[in-house]
Amino acid sequence: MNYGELLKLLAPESILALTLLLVLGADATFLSGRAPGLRRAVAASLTVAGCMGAIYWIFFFPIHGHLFSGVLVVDPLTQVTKQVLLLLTAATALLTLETAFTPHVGEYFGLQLLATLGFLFMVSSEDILTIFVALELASLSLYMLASFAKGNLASAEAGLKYFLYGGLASAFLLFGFSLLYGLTGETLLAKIAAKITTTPRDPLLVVAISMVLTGLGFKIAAVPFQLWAPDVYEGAPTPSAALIASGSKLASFFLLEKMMTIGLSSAVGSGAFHALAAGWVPMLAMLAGLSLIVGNLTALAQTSVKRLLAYSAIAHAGYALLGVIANSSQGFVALLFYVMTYGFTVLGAFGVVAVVERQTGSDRLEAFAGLSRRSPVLAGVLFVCLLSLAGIPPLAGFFGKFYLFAAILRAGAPSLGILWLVILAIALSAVSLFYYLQVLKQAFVREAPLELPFSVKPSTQLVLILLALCVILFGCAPDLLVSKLLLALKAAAPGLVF
Amino acid sequence: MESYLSIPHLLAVAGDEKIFGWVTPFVWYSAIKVLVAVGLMLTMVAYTVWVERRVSAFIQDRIGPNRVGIFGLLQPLADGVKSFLKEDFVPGHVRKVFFWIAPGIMLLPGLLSIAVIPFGSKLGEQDMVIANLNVGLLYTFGITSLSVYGIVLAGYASNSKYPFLGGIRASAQMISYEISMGLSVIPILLIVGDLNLGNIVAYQGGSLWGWFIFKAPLSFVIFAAAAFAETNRLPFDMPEAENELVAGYNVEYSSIKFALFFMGEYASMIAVSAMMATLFFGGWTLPFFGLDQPATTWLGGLLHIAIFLAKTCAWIFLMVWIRWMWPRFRFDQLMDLGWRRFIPLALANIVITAVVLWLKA
Amino acid sequence: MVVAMGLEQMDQYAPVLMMALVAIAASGGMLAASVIAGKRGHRPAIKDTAYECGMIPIGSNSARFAVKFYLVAMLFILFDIETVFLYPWAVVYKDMLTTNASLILGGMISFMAILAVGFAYILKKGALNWRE
Repeated sequence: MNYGELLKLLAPESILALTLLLVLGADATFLSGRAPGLRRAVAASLTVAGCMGAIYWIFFFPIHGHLFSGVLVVDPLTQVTKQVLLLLTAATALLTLETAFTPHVGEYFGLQLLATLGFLFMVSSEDILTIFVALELASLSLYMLASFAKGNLASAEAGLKYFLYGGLASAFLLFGFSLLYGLTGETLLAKIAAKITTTPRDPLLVVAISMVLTGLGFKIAAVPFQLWAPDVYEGAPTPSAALIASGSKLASFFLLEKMMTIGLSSAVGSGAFHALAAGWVPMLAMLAGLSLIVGNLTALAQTSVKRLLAYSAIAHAGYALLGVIANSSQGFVALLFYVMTYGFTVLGAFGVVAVVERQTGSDRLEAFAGLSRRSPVLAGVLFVCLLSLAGIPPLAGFFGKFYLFAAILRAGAPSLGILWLVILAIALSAVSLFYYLQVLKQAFVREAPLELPFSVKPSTQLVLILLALCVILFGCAPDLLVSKLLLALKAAAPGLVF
Repeated sequence: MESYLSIPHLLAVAGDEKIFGWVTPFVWYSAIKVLVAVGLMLTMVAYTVWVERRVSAFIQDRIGPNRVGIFGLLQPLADGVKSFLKEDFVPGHVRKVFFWIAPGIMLLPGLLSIAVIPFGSKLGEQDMVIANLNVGLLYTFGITSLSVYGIVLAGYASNSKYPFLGGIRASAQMISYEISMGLSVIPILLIVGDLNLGNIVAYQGGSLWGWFIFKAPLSFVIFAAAAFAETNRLPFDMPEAENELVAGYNVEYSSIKFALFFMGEYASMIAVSAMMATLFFGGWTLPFFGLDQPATTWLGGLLHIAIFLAKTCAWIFLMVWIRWMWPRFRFDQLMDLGWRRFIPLALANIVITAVVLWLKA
Repeated sequence: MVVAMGLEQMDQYAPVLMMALVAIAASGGMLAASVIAGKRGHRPAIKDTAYECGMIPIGSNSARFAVKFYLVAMLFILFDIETVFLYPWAVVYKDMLTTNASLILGGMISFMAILAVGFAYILKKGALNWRE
């Protein structure tokens, strides 16, 4: 593999790296004494330009290949996921313009770009070493992003909790990986699967799987590894929380799916009600069930909207895990559709929260009072996003959940052993409507003490409206995204045979 | 029994035979080499002090020690005996454990780093190197990095403001120059393609222009400067500047513990001189009279050892001479030089060497 | 799984261990000799206080020191890791020039370029400004 060929394969990442160096360099040299508004605008535009450049390259120069059959994989599926990740980062960068919590502008956008680089590499790796390095790159950037508001105690607490918890989870993940290496002597996921010849009940394999699930479960905020999420989402600056909620989730779920279906494909097991078999499926089923219960029920009692969104993120991790448990190509597509549209939705929600926070100073439920009169645009976006999260048709969230349930039931056909999990999910989905409607009640029904209109930046308005339109679009015509994902998955089929 | 333990036999043990029934020849000869090397090292440390005192006297137009023995040659012995007989005092306010450990570990890096340096080619059947490691150069830099610990622990153990500040400043200086030292030998590695110091020495045989001081001059300059900084020798003398920090990190030490700090510094100095002789001046080779081939006779072997020792002693003399010739750097000048000048220079050096090698291929 | 070639190399560490033991014995012996052969003096109270040019020490005995030292240590770690990555690269460089020159040279140039930009950033932000 020539260096030139490698660079062509890695062109989106290289473009992003150049953007990162440009943002840091520009902020340190040209813009060092200027007004913060100008610096933020320049940095954000550079970031968005870089992301768009990378998306453009992926779209117009579809090059596919791999490095050493798995250390780096560039195929249609990863390219689609990368495009969505880049869009999410671009939207986050534009939303950052709404906030003003730090004078270190170049570093902040640089860290967002670094985290995105980590996500892109996470998505392209099929080798446990590369997975770990990419995971660490993304995680460390996110830790710093979470603690970036230096004067704010909550932000410092968020960053510290995230870091300590994440460090421990990474240690577990690495130990699980080393056990897998010890069992098989291979680092490539496909070869690991081929060499796991022991039964799924081998204690060492069970320990390895549980440790890997611990590490990855932390990243997706599944119970019992979810304790960092509420504090981090609440304390971190809103754009950081937005990136954690959207980009990190997508990359981590993609990684989890790849790890489980490719790497551990011979240790699947079953989570059917009367036919439990050892493997990673029953473990994930338990994780999913607990996440659904804990996430939905705890969100009922929240008074801070960011914390509410955190618990809803935990619940949505539970729903998304259904796609992984399905262990089929439809499950994979359903998972990707769900997490991608979830990313857009939650970005919209966090964008609204960012504006409200800036204008009223807090993210409590009371701060949202009278939002529909103070800013109809924001209220509309909030309406669309929260109802999509609740799973109301014809919004994207409904179809996401529908596809997930269909995929998991079809995968287990003709036996409906996994039905217990699906029923739990549907029931708790109904429960979740309550806390989303609570926020909407504040926005549409309650009266604000002072009905001063909000002043929202035009860029923020544009981004939020676009996000809401995306949610509606994918709700009314989900096939646009689903067919694309199915095609990409089929084109990448050699490595993902189900 | 008598002939079994006779000296000619013990020095020429054949391949499979075990001495005392369980010691293999390899272990036996290694033990001899280790003991001889450590003994020689400690003697050289003691006599480097003598050299320093006589040379400084000559430079400063006075005489230096000449009372104890001819030319003062027994002065180090007298100093050593004095150190042992002085009161061994541990102040009440120090952290006891680290107070004892700090001087103890000062000698270790200096002594350990000569384990991989080839001080000759062959003597009889034995390679004249204590441990012929394939990662010799990396080992040397790892061991040199340990020398920071003694100073930092001394400053920390002393539990007092000035030694602490002196220790921190000394360790900041040492770690800054460690990077330059590590980076500066990479062009040599690029040219040779091997970390084994024996192979690096063999590569320099052939002609005088094969010595790396001619093939990688910038490496030499950076390495030499970094070597001075690592061993806290003038002009990088700030940690021990008498007028600045009241002797710095070893204020609270006395008698043999105090002497051990300086013995450690001289041991590092000798080790670094040996490294420079090996890396840049051809080690035990001389490009005339076929002296760049491994020796076949005992005389040839001894000649190679003598050449190596001569080069090392020349460097020691040079280090002593420079100390008494030049003024010292201020701390901020020192750090500036290390970070802002040497590191970019060393990095550029690596890139240029890599590109030149690529163009030649 | 020790590679066959590596096993002979492991033998070479035995002399290193012997040297370490002899060096520790030498240091320890000197310290022990000083304890045994040293005089016993009397201990007035002033001997047990920190030495500050003969005056009674003022203030606590741990000075606050500039955070620049901590920054220097962190930066040292970064550049030391870069050096560590450069060593194996340098060893295989000449051999790989014949098989895959662009990869070996281009890869390391990009690595060093990213670190060089980071270094320039550090210098611009004044983290290595010791003018105190």
